[in-house]
Amino acid sequence: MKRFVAAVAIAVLAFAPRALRAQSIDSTFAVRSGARFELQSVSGSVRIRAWNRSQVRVQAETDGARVDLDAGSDGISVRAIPRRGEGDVDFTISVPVGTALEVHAISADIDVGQVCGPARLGSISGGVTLVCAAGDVEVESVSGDVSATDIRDGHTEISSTSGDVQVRQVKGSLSARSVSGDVTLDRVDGDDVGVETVSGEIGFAGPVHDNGRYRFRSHSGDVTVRTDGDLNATVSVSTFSGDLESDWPITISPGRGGRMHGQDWEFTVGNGGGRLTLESFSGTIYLRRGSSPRRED
Amino acid sequence: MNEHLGERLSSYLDGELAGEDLVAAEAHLAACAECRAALEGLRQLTSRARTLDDHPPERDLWSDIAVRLPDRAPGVVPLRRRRFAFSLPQLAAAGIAVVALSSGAAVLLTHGARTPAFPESPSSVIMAGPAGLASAKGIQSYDVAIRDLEATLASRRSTLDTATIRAVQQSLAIIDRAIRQAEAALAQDPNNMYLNDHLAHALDRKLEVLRRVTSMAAAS
Repeated sequence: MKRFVAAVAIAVLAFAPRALRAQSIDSTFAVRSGARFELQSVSGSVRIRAWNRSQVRVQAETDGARVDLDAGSDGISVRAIPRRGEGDVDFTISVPVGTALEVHAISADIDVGQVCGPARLGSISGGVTLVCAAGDVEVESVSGDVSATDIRDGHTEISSTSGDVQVRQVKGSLSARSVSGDVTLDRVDGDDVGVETVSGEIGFAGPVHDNGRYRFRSHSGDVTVRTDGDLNATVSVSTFSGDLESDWPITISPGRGGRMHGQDWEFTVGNGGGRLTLESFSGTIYLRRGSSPRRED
Repeated sequence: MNEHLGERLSSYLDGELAGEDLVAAEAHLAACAECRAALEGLRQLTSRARTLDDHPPERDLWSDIAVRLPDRAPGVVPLRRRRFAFSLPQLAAAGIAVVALSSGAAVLLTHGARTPAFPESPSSVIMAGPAGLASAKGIQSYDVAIRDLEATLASRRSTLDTATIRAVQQSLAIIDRAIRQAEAALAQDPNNMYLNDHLAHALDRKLEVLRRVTSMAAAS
């Protein structure tokens, strides 16, 4: 297919007042089914929503940054390029439902809602919010908070280095990570779940499937796992100076003896079908009945 | 059940056990799922190390590096007498990877800051103890990482704002503290598999954070 390239260059006088350099862009492109949408921005904001048209609409408000639009056979690519120190662009994007998204920014907040396709979203210092996705999902930030809600039919990777991580209503495998932020997972229904923090706390609520693998690891934060109904799992608990509290009747025998420090247990609840690994070097591990992901006080 | 294999796992993996020791180790492995899992973890770690690039330096950079080390005489490799439960293959695997990226990214992140450019904690691991091979490889990788990341610094540092740099530094400090605590715990209980795994994982986390920040800065 013949490649169509539209370059929208914002004509800016070198010394024009800021108000004069502010520009608006509003372009709409017809896209085929399965087209992708990619966006790279620096600062400002990115808001993406779905609509019931086979078109992508790009609206942008810029104080002087150049915005390049590239409409190819695979989809639409948008890139904001700072000019003369001006990098702020506020994007409002409309895409067909199910569009695969790839959005990267430096400090812009990214807000994606109801597109319900695969998504790779990353902002270095901005926050990232994703509501509704299907297929594989990657959401990451370095210093911003990240959240993902209503994710299904794929693998979800979500992480922030110093921000909090929140996940709700996920059906599928999941990996969630932070260093100093808390990680909260509510109604996560998957058979392969891994959650890690270093100093943050972990709160998980969801079923533990008989053939599932669930691993929760923190260094100094508490780990709280809540599950409703019957629990059938082989549970491994490892800690150095932390504690374990369980609502479930368990019989613990030390996995190995004679150590000066550290506690390492394995026990079976129910038929032991699932594999539940709980680790905290110095935090408390809570195994609770219930459906709320709230962490212990 | 007999005592777990602990450090003998490394010897077993390296083919260093023979005779009764080998028979006893294999008998224990046959009966102990935990040791089998630990052995598999060691195998994977070693395998991952083999996939890492280990470029020899194009020139001898050690003198340039050594003079950057605070409070150390130029040309002196700091051998810290810590006690680790890591075996040689573990050190070679985890250390090379961590040093190669963390030291370089530390350069990226600490440019213009007061944080020492030479990261104290995983690089000290790679240079610690009797793991001479690991030390040599680590230093070589460190040389390469410094060169590469200094170039990266010049081209990409401006993409990270000060708040992000601060957040990353704080996160790395948190991981370093976790590493130190795991090291201290291991010094008391060197054969503790959980602590071994926890320390290795903390190093891995640092590597991952640095890799992520570097790649995101590059992508942006």
